[in-house]
Amino acid sequence: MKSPKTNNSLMTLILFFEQLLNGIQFGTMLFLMSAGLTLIFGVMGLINLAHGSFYMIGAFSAALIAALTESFWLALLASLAGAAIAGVLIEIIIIRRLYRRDHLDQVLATFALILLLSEGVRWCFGAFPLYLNIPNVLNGTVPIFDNIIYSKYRLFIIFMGFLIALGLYILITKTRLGIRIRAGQNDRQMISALGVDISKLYTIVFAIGASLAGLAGAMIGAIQSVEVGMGEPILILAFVVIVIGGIGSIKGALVGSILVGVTDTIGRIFLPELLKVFMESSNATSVGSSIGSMLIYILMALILIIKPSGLFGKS
Amino acid sequence: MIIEKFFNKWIMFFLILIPTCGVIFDEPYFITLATKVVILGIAGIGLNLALGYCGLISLGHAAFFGIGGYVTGILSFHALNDEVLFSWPLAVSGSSEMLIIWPIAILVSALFSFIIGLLSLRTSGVYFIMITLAFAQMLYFFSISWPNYGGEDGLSIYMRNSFPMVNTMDPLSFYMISLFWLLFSIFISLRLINSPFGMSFQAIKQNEERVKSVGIETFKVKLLVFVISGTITGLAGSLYTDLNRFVSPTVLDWHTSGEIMVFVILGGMARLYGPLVGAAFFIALEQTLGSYTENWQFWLGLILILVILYARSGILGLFDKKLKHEK
Amino acid sequence: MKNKILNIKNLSKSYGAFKVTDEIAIDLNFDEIHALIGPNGAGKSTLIKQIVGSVKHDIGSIVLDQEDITDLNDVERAKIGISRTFQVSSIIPKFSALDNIILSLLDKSKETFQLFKSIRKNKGLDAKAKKILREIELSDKSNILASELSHGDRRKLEVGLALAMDPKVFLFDEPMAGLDESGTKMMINLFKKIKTNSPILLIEHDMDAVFALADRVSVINYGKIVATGTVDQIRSNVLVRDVYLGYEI
Repeated sequence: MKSPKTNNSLMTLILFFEQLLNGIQFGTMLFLMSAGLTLIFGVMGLINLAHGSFYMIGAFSAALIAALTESFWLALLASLAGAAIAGVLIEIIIIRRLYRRDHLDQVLATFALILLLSEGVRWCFGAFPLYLNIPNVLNGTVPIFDNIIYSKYRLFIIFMGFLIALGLYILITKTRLGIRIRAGQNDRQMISALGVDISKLYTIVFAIGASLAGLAGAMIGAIQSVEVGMGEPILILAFVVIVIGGIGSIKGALVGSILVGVTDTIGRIFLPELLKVFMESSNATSVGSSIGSMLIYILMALILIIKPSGLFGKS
Repeated sequence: MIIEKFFNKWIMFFLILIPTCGVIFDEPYFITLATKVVILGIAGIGLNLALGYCGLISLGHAAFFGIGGYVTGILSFHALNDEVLFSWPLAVSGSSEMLIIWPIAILVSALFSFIIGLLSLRTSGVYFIMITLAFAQMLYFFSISWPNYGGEDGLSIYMRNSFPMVNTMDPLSFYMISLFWLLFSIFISLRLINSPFGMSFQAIKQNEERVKSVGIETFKVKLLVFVISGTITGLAGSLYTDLNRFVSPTVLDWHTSGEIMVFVILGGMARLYGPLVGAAFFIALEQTLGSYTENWQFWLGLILILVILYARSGILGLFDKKLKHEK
Repeated sequence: MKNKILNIKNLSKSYGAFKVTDEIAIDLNFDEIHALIGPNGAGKSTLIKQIVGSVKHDIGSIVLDQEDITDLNDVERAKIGISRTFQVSSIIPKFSALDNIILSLLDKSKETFQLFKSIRKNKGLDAKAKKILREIELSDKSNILASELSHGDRRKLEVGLALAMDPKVFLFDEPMAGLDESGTKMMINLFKKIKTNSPILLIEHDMDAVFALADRVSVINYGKIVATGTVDQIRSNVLVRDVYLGYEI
């Protein structure tokens, strides 16, 4: 027979492992957001606060198609398409006028765009949250090791996240479009001298970023709910990610996302437990959860003190 | 500039006229709205020092607005419940005296702007924007998850804090108090921008490398501007809590940072009265559009985009140009 | 060694395999003008940047007035007495010419952190700034915005900003570029006058000006100093003719 104590620490280990997976799952979604954000900044020099709106648009597109067709897979496709279409339209109408403006104008215009898009979606869909159902195949749990079972759907999200990271890697290193994107990151004058239709390239890059955000929105929408403003908390986390990883670096976005995802998830759960060693239980819970919510910002501050341009950023 | 001065007189005139009308027609709501404009104007005047005059694009001024607000809320909450605020190293109790609350709110906001500035100013450009945003967001999440002061629901203080011999619950009296702080912060800004220090921070906005090369420690200058800027915004936060008799995490939300920035831009950057005009325009828009449609922010967003794309110099700038043409 | 105000030894900097400055040794005596010449891309401007501290060198040492300043940053070096002009005019565009000069006076007069005193009422600064404007012959343009000055006037203002700092040494990066004849003449006279206070390290393409002014000349090529000597020695140096092949000396 196992003693209660070892049983207890085994439970902690299982809990830890489960939370680690949750953190990675959260991190992969953050990656979908921050990859687009960092790509758009790297190529066009645009700081886009409205990136969270594409997350929301993706989720709403998915919810709409799911309601019409009852197919989760079509809904996922719809999230990609919906966000991409919105991205193209918004890029052509508004965003491309901002590339030559300074950061302040970009911040303000994209902030205004958030107000416009959030209220626009509220107008169309109403203020009540919508729900997106997980398909039966992905419902339930799957055993990973002896004692550990984990949600199929969350594993699916992790899988999709890494699949897309791989896809982006191939796109950027192996394709003609990727060469142009990299050229654009290094030298904006050169690329137009090469005869690349730069405004088309920009529209494509913006649409890729938007559709990745849209996909993330739909996948998270199925766990949480689909509602106006859902993109904003994750947008700001994505900013933290790219500050940590180094603005413009996709590798930095991947490392930063996982780091932030895991730190946030593990910190919120284990910090209160850790503090119980030092102080009484109820205090530990409230202090722990408050500090837990600030942990990633503390992480960001620490990294900035050591390396002001982020882990993979050019100084 | 002469034209701007002419407008400033009109602005002062309106600052007196609107509450007077409120009293004459017995519409206290008018006075309350005017007070809101004045307080938000102060917040914008604070940001304007960093943003408009020194070129520091802070997207985190909600942090200071919120800190001023929460310091006020917490002090008066403790006074109301007659609890000590903390017992170590000195037993400190809450207070509901504005004359005690203001200096504390000012000190705490200054302290926070110093710490946040010290870390953020190590970076520049987009990094600076995102880091100021992130620090404000950190405080926002802290305020939500810290249960002692209402967490997500916020903190009510029931009675406005008191000021010797003044009934602060009377809208006009509280308006006057806010107006005093507005004039004070305009006065401070005016003195600052015409001082040697002001010359340094305005030069930094235009060409930081040159300013360094003449031996001026630009980091220190920027940090001090940031602290003064955050402190003025913090003071506005304190008044805002008293105006609403309520403070909640909303004041720390990044939308608040965005809105304070919008006041500065709508009015016209680096203009002394710009943020006040911007705040007035914003509130007027909220009131008029808001009475027609629930989705007034949609139209606000649209107007903002148009202003940024086509009327970059703000409202005061528009008048400036128009009058110049007529001459 | 005592008669050197600025002494630079073994200064090197490379970007990857490319050496922008390679074991540079150069010094500056009290009351001299030491000109640095060399073709474009030879490393002259990078050397200036390393001396003022805006670009960090890999190895080497810089001693100013017997004080090792190698580890100081750009602002600290400026405060201690190195002042420079920029090759491409770098001024405060929305300040008047007068205000540009006043800005440059602030640090020496410990006024930077005067928060509430009006700068307009500071007679001392005003008088000093006007004196400098007279020296650079810009008195009649003192209230014109720097961005609206002509190219030549901006070059003069650059020099004025350096003068205002009253430094130990001047580093002038092509101060005469774009000046008309009378402007060049004014600069030559001005430099002769100020060098007795603070010596000048001068980068200049106008060879007539260099030979009229310089006490010593160093030639830099591919990041290396290839020759140092008096004007006459440099004129007759074959190596210099190679470096400046096609250049009229």
